[in-house]
This record gives sequence, C-alpha cells and structure tokens, in this order.
Amino acid sequence: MRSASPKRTPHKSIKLASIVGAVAMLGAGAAACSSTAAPSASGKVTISWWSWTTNPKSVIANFEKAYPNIKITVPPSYGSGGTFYSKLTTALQGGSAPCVTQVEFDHLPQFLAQHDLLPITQYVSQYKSDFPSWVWNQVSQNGQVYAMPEDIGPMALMYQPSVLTKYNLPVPTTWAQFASDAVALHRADPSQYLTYFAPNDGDQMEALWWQAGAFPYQVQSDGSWKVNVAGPLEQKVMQYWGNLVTQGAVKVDQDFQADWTHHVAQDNYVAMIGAGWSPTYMVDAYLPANSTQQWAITEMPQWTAGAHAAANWGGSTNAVTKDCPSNLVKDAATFASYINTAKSALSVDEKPATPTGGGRGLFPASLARGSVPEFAAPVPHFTGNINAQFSQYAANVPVKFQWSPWDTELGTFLTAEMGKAAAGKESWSQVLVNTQNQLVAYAKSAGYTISQ
Amino acid sequence: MRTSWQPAVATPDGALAPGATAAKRGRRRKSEPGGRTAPGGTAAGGLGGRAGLTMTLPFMILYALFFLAPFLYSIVLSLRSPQTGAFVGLFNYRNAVGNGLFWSAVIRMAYFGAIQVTVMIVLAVVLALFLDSPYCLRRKAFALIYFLPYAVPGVIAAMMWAFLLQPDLDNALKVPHLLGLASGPLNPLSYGFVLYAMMLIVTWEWTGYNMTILLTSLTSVPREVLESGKIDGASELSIAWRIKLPMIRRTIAFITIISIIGTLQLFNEPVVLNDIASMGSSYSPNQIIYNTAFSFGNEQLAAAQSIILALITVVATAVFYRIVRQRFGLAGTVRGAAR
Repeated sequence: MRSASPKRTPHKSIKLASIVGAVAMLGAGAAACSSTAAPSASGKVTISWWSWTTNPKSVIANFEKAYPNIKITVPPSYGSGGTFYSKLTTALQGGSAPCVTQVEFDHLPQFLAQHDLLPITQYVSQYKSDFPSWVWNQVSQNGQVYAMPEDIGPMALMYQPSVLTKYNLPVPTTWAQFASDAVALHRADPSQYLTYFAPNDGDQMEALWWQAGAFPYQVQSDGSWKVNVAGPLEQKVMQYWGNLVTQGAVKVDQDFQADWTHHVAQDNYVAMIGAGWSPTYMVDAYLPANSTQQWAITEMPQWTAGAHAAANWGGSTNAVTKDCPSNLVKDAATFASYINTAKSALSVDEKPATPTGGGRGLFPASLARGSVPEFAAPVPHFTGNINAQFSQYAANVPVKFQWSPWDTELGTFLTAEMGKAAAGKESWSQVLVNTQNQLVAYAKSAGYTISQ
Repeated sequence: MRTSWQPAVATPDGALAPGATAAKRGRRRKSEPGGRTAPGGTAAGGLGGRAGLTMTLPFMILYALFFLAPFLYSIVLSLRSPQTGAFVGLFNYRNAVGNGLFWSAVIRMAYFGAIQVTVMIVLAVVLALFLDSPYCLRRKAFALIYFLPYAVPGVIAAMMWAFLLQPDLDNALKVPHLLGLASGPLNPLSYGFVLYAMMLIVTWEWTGYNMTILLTSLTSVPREVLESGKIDGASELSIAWRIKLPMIRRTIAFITIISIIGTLQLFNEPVVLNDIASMGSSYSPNQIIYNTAFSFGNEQLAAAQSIILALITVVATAVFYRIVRQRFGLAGTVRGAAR
C-alpha cells in the first residue's frame, strides 16, 4: 500500500520513529490538527493537511502565494503507508481527522466504504480532462468525485544495460525471456541476481496482477463484492515468481528494509521492477556517492510477445474528509486541486525530493506534467528522458481495474503467506488459496456481503 | 520448621488483570515479597474498616476510570456490528473464534511461553541463589548489571536486538561462516528462527527483573534456619537447593504466573521485528488485536478478540496455579497471607 510519492523515503528513520510513535500513540490522545471553524477577523481560513510527501512546505508556500487568504497547516510526521493509515483511521473514528489528507488509490475504497470522504464534484469536475481516464475512474464513485489525483506510478523495468551486455543477455521483452535471463545471469555471476522477490510487498504483487489483466475485486450493483485473488491470472503470476524463487534465480529480499538497501548499494541487482517514483526512491536513494551504476528504463516484460500491457504501482490522491467543517470544504477542494493541477505546483512536484531540490520527486498524475521544465531534467544514474518513457507507459494502463475496501487486510494476509512460501513452509499454489479464504472471512466479519 | 516464618509474599490483589486493552506487557506491577507478618495474622490485618477504605479510595477511583470503565466499554463494543454499530450479539465472537490465524497465534505463544518462561525462571533462580551465596563478589554491582536490561524500554530493546541480529549489520553473525562451520552468515531473523530470536530478546529483558524479585525474597529467609543448616554440616549448594529454594517457592510461582500472562500479551517484539523479519502482523494474539483495531479499523472485532484473549489468560493462570498449588503446597501464593 505504498504511494508513488516518498513512500519509504524518508524510509528507515521515520519508519522507526513512527513505530515508536505509534506505540506511544496508544496512550496519548489524538493530536488533532483541527481547522478553525470560522474565518478570523482578517478573513483568513486555516485548512489542515496530512501527507507524507517530502518538502510539504514548498507546496504550501507555492499555494499560499496564489491564495493568500487560505493558510495550510504543515502536515505532521505520521509515517507513511500502514502507519499513516492507522493514524488516519483512528482520527476519523474520533472525529479529529484533517480537512485534506493524502490517500493512495488503493485505499480510497476503504475510506469511501466507511463514508469518511466528502464529495467534491462541484468544485473539481472541470479538471476531469487533466487526467488519464483510469485515474479519474478511481477517484469517482457513483458519479461523484471524492479525491483529486496527485501522482501515479506507471510501471517499467529498470536495468543496467552494461551488465546485460557484458553477459550477452538480451533486454527482456517478455516474462519468459526475463526468467531465462535471471537463470543465466546468476549462473554467470553468483554474486549478482537479475532482481529480487519481495515477500513483504503486497502492493507490488497486486500491480503485477493488474499488468496480467486480472480484476480480482469487482463491486456489484447491489453493493456486494465479488472477490477472487486466487483466479487463474493471479495464480499465473504467483507461480512464475515462485518458480524463480525455487530455482534460486532471484533473491528473496524484504524490499525497503535495511538488508535490501545494502544489496542495492552493493550492486547485487541488475534490474528492478519499478514505477515512476522508483529511479529516485529505489535506486538513487541508496547508491553511495561514488557509485558507477548506470541504469535505463524499458517497458515492462509482457506475457504475450508484442503486447504493451502496462500497470500502475502506487500513486496517491488528496481527499477531503468528513471532519472538515462545511464552510471550509470549498477551500479544501481548491487546495487539493491547485497543488495537483497548477503549473507552478507541478513544477514543485517534479523537483527532486531533497532538501536542496525543494520538491516532492513525484510523477504527477496530471497530463500537463510534461509542460514544465523539470520534466526533462536528467535523473542521476539514469540515461535518457525517463519521465517521457513513463508517460508513454502510463497511457497503456488498463482502465477498469478496481481496488477493494480491504487493501490493508489483503496486504497483511498476502505478505504473511508469501513469507511462508518463500521460507519453504508451504507451496506457492497454496499462497493465494489461503489468502483468498482469509480475505473473504475477514470481509464478512467486517460486515460486507461477498458474492463469489 | 514453623510455617509462620515463611516469607509472606504480599502480592497485589489477584494476578495482573489480563489484556482487555491492547499492548500492556510492560505493565507488570512489582510485587512486595518478604516482610515478616504477625504470626497468624494477614498482611493487611487490623487495618480494615474506614481507614482502609479511605486509603484505597484514590486507587479505586483510578482503577474504575482507567480499567473497569474501558473494560466494560470493550464488552459493549464487542457486541456491536462493525458496519452499523447496532447490537448483533455474538457475531464478533463467532468471527473471532473462527479465525484460524488467531488460534495459530495463541498456540505459537503457548509454545513460546513453555520454552522461554522455563528458561528464564530457571536462569533467574540460579542467578538469585548465586548472588545470595557467600561465593559472590561485588553482589550489589552484579545485581544492578543484571537488572539493567529491564531499564531499557521494551521497544528500544527490541529495535537494538533487531539490528544486532541482522547478518548484514552484525559481523559477529559471520564468524561461524568464516570459521568454516556454516555455509553462510547466521540469520536469526529468518522465518524459522525468528521465534527463538524473540525468546532470546524477552529472556534478556526480563531475567534481571525476576532475579531481583527473587533476591528480595531471599533476604527474608530467616538467618537462624541457614545457620542451623550450616551447623548441621550442609554445604552451600545443599543450603541453596534444600533450604532457600523451598522457602522462596511462592515467589517463584508468582513470577511464573506473571510471566505466563506477559507471554500471552507479547506485543513489542513481534511488532518491531516484523519490519525486519517480515513474519507478518498476525504473529502474536495482541498484535492481531492491535492490527484489527487500528489498521483494519474494526474495533468491534478487536474488542471481541481481546475478551477472548483475557479469558484464555485467566484460564491458563488458573490451571497453572491449581497444578502447582497442590504439587508444591503453595496455598496462599496469590492471596499473600501467611499460613
């Protein structure tokens, strides 16, 4: 459940701090950043905002220049991903959630099902053509829009061309070729792997299902859900990776954990499945200053030769929560739209997510992303205009994919099962069957109707 | 020997109330062992009536506010529907009981406790007896050193150990490989071993604490008895094994019960290690409850799971107490009265 935005950067330090904070939070009350309910004498309003993107102050400064009467509070550090959502869920239950919050695409259905988000259709419908249709689909439900898309993560394969050339291996265009490359590479150089398999990354696995054309979750017209994560396409993907793991052709590695960051820095991986945010957050974040690694981007390997199936991994939106006072909803929606559609905002988004860069290092969802100079800026250790390539792949993402309201739960169950299989404790074909059973049992215990 | 000279273990009333709320493993009350009582009297004897009530009133108020009230709220919450909040009877309990992951976690904790509690109590007893013997030099310094791990906050300790046990970050794990004894660096945090790594961490954290309680209990062993043993020609080992150990058996039983309760509530270590060892967030029952309440947002189901865990803890404690009471003559361990 990671966003394209700095989901794991600031990775370790904030993650650890947020664990400690999360445990301490149990005793502490919710520290609400509540908005003032009425404008002060000078006519200013204050909107609270929660986000885990980097350099939020640049974003706020840029917005407040355009809208001097709207002040935005600086987002507190509540960690990212699961830790952030725990805090948000608890705040929503206590009625102290912020006006605007970052929510990843895959978590929107969860908050929509709990009626936690306010419709903002009347304020943002004019921006529909700014975004790819699959993006607008995912922020809408029953004709109403509930969030403004922020960034997306179109997937691609990142690889080191020099290493593949060194071992005379073709750049893989199909998954079959990818598998044979993996076997050959590891045999030629046992200290390197073509890539890794992350049993702790449920999001990446769901993205791979998306690329394979699977639709595991479908809401029915009567509000019930059809869910099948153990369908033939999902099993195909899982078996494929299970085989690679069993053969020892890919390394089992917990992505974004300390060991994995070491392996990236040590050049153990020649290629990585990535998304629009990956060059910054999966490669550059961990390479030492004197690293000579040179990377390039190409299209994701395909299941059928000649196809161009794409997928999206991560990506967030900004939504207005039910705890926003009704007189502030318009301004909140204005903020959510401005920071994701205005040219100056896109500039900030695309600047590097470093203290000196002052930006957020995002791949914006907006189609106008190419209209700012930062789009073509070179990325360290990467050749070519990678943003243009990601834009190209983003156009091929299947439109109809839906997320379920239980993405957190799916992540919990799926990663536990994948971990067991990777440790040899169960067969790979059993992983999805177990996950499916646990997911359906959970969904029913949470009061959803499942029609299978 | 006259039983009225037994060290009376005045414990807080009852065992620690087991986990109706999430994550309270650190909340172990220190017992107050030792202390002579008037022959035939109770530890609180003679102070009943109004004075007693007034003195316990502040505690009672806080107890009602911060334990009883949330506990009752949990029960009410557990009877409600996660989606609508309406009263649904045992819906959540049926789901909690039918959840295979929950029972796997409970069994895992039972296995964990069986090994870890045994090892830790044995170690604590041995250390306490050793520190209490004349063979020990610098007793106070060592007592403090062994106690220090308890002073490290649980989450910090788990994090420190998580770093120490990672092959890429800790060169000591590479030593067997360098010596040719293993095919690669040791990985205590791999899926099959992480439970034992947690046993190690928990034992490191709590042995000193339990040892300190036992040491205090040992100071109340009457010196006359030890002297008479020495006069009779008993060796130090004999004295420790046959005189001191039986006299502190109530304390041992008490700390074992506390440890069992703590084991069932294990939370810090699985949560912190999950980020690194990735064994999932359904590893311990308390972790499941926390996850269900705060990640999944399903407080009603979590409340039901908490109540079930509390019942399991009560049953486990009662069973253990029953067994040892009859076997070792430990009447009065929990109530603390001299017999």
